[in-house]
Amino acid sequence: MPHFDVNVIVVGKDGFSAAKLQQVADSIQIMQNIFAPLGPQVGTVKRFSINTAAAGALVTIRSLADAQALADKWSVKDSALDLFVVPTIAASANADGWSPVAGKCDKARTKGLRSPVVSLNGNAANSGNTFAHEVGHFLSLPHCEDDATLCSDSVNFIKRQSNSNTSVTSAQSTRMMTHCLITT
Amino acid sequence: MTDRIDQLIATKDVFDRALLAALDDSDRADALNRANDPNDPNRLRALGILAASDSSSGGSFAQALGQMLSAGQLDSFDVAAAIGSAAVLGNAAVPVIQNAAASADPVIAVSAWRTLQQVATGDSLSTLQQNAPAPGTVVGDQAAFALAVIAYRARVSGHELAVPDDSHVRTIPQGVETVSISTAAPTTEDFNLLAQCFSGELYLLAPANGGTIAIDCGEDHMLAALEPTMQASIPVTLLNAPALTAIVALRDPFGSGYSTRWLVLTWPDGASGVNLGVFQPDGTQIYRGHATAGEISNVDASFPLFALDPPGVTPISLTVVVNANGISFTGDQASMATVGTDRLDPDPE
Repeated sequence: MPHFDVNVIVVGKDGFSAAKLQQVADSIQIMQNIFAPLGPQVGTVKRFSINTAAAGALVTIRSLADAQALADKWSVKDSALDLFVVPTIAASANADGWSPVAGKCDKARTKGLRSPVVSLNGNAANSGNTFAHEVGHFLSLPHCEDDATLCSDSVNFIKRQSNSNTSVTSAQSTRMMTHCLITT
Repeated sequence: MTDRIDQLIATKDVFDRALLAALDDSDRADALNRANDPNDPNRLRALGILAASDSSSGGSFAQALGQMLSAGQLDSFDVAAAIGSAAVLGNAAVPVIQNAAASADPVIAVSAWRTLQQVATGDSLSTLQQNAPAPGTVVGDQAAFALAVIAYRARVSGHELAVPDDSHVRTIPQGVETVSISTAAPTTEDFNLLAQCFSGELYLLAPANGGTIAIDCGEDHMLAALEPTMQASIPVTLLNAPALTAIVALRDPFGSGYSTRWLVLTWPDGASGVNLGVFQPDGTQIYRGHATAGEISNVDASFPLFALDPPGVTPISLTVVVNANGISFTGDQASMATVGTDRLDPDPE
């Protein structure tokens, strides 16, 4: 079964409340559910953390530049996708997360945002979409508004305004299957 | 709840500025209500909409921020995120967040010092200095860097940063793959994207098109902007006092906006030369430069630039030249394709 493995790296985990930890778990489950019907599947999920003291100022992500600094500083030395989960993104950034579109698989390479960085903004349904939405970008999907041929539905998970949408099209599934991260 | 606010909150990674421009009074009232509602899971996103639509010092963003900080209903991460947004107020944010810098919660205190370094000016320096914790902790180190940035912005001596010694320099080894670094004048559209950032995002530097260059390196597209008040008299302004000489801003993957990635600080070396440091906003120095007296003419200064050894930093080979016409690069203008120092490992569970 085509799949990709994920390293979920929770930033500032030592400061997370039980409710926030539950939201991380729920968001991972929602992401798995979004990808499951058409694939690629979310394969092995490994969990990691960076404590608040180590993260320092990067525990509060203010901008894409901060997100890039975070992903430049830490990585898991394997072939799985590093997914950084931060508790919040500063309101002035007006974003729930960021990711490169068609991200690179060689983690040692530099230039550009290396990995998705997602927040727990909103409720679990919202952040679950955020996890899947940004991973979808990494796996080569543009926003629906930038390539309508991939989106035949109105509640697609990777619309610019995707809120808690969960729908994936077969065209999107086919596109994601070609990414270097996918193994069978 | 209005449709337009719902739509803006539903966005993930590209903020719809046209929709923002279409907001009316009922939309702004809805955003304010949501930002003030402790039970609304989207209250920080609502605060962000207010930040983008009404950032005047007595406006709805300032009201909502003040209520969030005084109500005590948020966890420390949310308070830190709210404080992180306060920079949209510009220098008016200083009295709003000054107390937060003394918080016993390091997440909140670090965020407050980061915002202060974005927007505080020289008139606040002595007060902030009195309240700053000693370096050696996460908060103390951020505070020390913030005080340095504020002092450099004000061109005040006494907070000069240490120069990393040669053991920290990482150069490009022979034969490894490199990526070229190219520069160009920014397009009007590109420059306008930078210029529309709120002043705190740009560390109060008001970029001028003539002092800004576009830098492309692999997937990174950046704009480097010189401090306009220094530009005409370079190199004298570099030799006179420490300065926040430039910022380097990074464009997001969808080309919808910029955020400050690096701060370029310069300070006299005491021997008719000038030190240059490129810092991340968290205080990590990633590049070091030095123009000796022989590399400073009547009209320009040349800084051979070297990468340092923090995790994930990429060695480069180039020389930065600054003069009254702006910034230019000479030399190899190359960057390694991979990191020079391994990234850190997060803790496994």
